[in-house]
Amino acid sequence: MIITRSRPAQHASAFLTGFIAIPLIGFLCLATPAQAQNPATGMAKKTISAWFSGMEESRKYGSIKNEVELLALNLGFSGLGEPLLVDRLVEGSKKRIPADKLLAALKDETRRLQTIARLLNERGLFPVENADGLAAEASLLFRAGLEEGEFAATLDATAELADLKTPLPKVQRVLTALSTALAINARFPLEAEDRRTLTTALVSSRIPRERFGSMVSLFARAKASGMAQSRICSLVSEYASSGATLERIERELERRIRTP
Amino acid sequence: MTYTQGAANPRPAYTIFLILVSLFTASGLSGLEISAAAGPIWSSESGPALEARAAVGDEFFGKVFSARYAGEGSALWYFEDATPGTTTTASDGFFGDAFASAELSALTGPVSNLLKLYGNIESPYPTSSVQAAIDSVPLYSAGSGLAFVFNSFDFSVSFEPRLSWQSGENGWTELGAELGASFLAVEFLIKPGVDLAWMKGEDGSESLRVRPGLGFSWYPGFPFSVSADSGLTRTWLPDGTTSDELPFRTSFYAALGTSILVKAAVELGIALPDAEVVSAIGSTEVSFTLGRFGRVGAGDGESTWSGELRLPCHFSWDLDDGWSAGVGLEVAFD
Repeated sequence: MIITRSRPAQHASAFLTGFIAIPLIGFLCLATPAQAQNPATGMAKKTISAWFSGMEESRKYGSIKNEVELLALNLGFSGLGEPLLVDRLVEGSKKRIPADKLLAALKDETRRLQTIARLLNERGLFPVENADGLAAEASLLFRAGLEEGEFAATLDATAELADLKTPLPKVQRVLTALSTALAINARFPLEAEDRRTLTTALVSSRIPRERFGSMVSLFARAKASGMAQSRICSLVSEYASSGATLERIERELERRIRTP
Repeated sequence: MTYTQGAANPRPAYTIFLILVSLFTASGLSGLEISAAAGPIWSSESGPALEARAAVGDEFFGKVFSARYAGEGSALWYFEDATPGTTTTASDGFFGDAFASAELSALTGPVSNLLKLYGNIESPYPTSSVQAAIDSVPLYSAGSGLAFVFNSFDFSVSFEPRLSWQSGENGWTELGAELGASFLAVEFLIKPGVDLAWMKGEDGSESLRVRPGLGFSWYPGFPFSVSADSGLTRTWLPDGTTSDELPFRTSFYAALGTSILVKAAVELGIALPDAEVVSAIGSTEVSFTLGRFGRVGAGDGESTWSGELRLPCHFSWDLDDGWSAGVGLEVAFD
C-alpha cells in the first residue's frame, strides 16, 4: 500500500490556480459576445509594428521586434491575430520584464495558442467569431494549470450538445466548465481523472454555464459538512452527466449529509 | 438440470438476482466512506467528557437505480466531578447512540423515487447520576420515507410522505408529508413548501401540525454558501386550542484556503403572538485539514482510496442545555 502525502508546494500551486480561476469563472460567464470579440479594449487596431514604434517604453524592446513579428506570422497561420501577442507585450513591458525573458514568454504563449487552435480545428470547433478572445481565455487556463489532454477531452464532450449549433457557445461552455473545475481543484485538490470527469460532466449537463460557478459553493458546503471531495466530485459528475439540474444535485448531496 | 422435490426453483430468484446485478453494477461507481474521530468535549451541563464516533457508508450506482446504506455510532464518557481540585473518574457516565439507514433512489428520468428506512438507538442520558442512567431504558426511534421528486429543467416539485416513531415516556408516532418546490433564481435556489403532520403521543394525545414555509440557498460562485428558511407552524392540540410558532433556521458554510472549513448554524423557535423565544440553538465548527493521503491502487483499474486527517473544533450553545465545546482528531477514507 502506497500512501503519498500531498506536498506544501501543491497547496501553493492550488492557491495560485484559484487566484486565477475563481475570478475567471465570473469573467467567462459575464462576457457578452461583443465584449468577447475584443478582449483587450481597442486591441483590434494594435499591431506588433505599431506597438514597437509607439511609446518610448516599447522601443526598449526593439531587439526582439523581428522575432516577435515572426511569432505573430506563425500565429496568423493558426487563424489567430497578432493582437494576442501585443497584449502580452503590453503586460510584459509594464512589468519591466527584460527583453529576452519577454521573448521567451511570448514563444510559450504562441505555442499554447497554436495548440489551442489546433485542438479546436481538429474538432471543427474553431469559432468564426471571437476566436482571439476565446483563445486568450483558454491560454489563461493553460497558464493556471490546465493540461492539453484535459482540454481535448472536454472539447470532445461538446459532441453531446445537440442544442448548440455553432462552435462559439460550445467553446464558451467548455472554458467555463474548465475554469470551474480549476477553481474547485484549487480549494479541494482532486485527482486529474476526477477533474476530467467533472469537466466533461458539466459540459454535457443541463446546467446553464452561467451557473457552473455555483458548483464551487456546493463543494464548499458539502465539504464543510464532512463529505470527502472525491466523493462530492463523483456524485456531482454522476448526476450532472445523468441530466440533473443544480436543484437535483443539491438535493442529492443534502440527503447524503446526515443532520443530527 | 433436475430439481429435488420440495427444493425451491432457483430460476426466478436467479433472474431477479441478475437483473439487480445489472441495475446496480452497470456504471461501476460505488462509494465506500469510513471515518473515525475522538477527542475531549466539555459542556456546561455535564462537564468534561471524551467522545468517540465512527461512521461507514457505501453506495452502489447502476444505470437506473442507486442504493446506499450508512451506519454511525458515537459514545461519550463523562467525567462528572472533573472540576478543579477534585478527582476525576472515567466511569461516572456514559452516553451512546447508533444510527443506521438504507436508501434506494432512481438515477435518471424526471421522477426520482426514494425509499428511505432508518433506525436509531440512544442509551440513557446521564443527566443527574450514574444510578439514574442505569435505571433508565434506551430510546429507540425508527422511520421510513418516500420521495417523489419531479425534476424539470427550470424547477423541481417534491412530495415526501414519512412515518416515524420514537419510544419512551415522551414517545410519539408521526405521520407526515411535505410538499415542496425548488427553482433557481440567479444564484439562489428558492424553496417554498408546506409540511403537514399528524402526531400521536404515547400518552394518547393527538395533534395536527401544518407548517407553510419558504427557504433559500445561495451559491454565489466562490467557496461560500448560505441557507435559511422560515415559516409558520400552527399546531392543533387535543383540547381544541391552537399554538403558533415561527421557526427560523440559517446556516453557512465556507472554505478558507485549502485547509480550513467553517460551518455555522442558528435555529430559533419563536412562540406567537408573544414573540417569546422558546428554543434557540447556535453551533459552529472550524475544521482544519492536517493532511491528505493520495490514491492507493490507482492506475490499474482497481479500487482506489484517498483519505484525510482533520482537526474539527466545535462550539455550540443551547437555550436549555447551555454550551458545549470540543476538539478532536478525525481520520476519513473514501
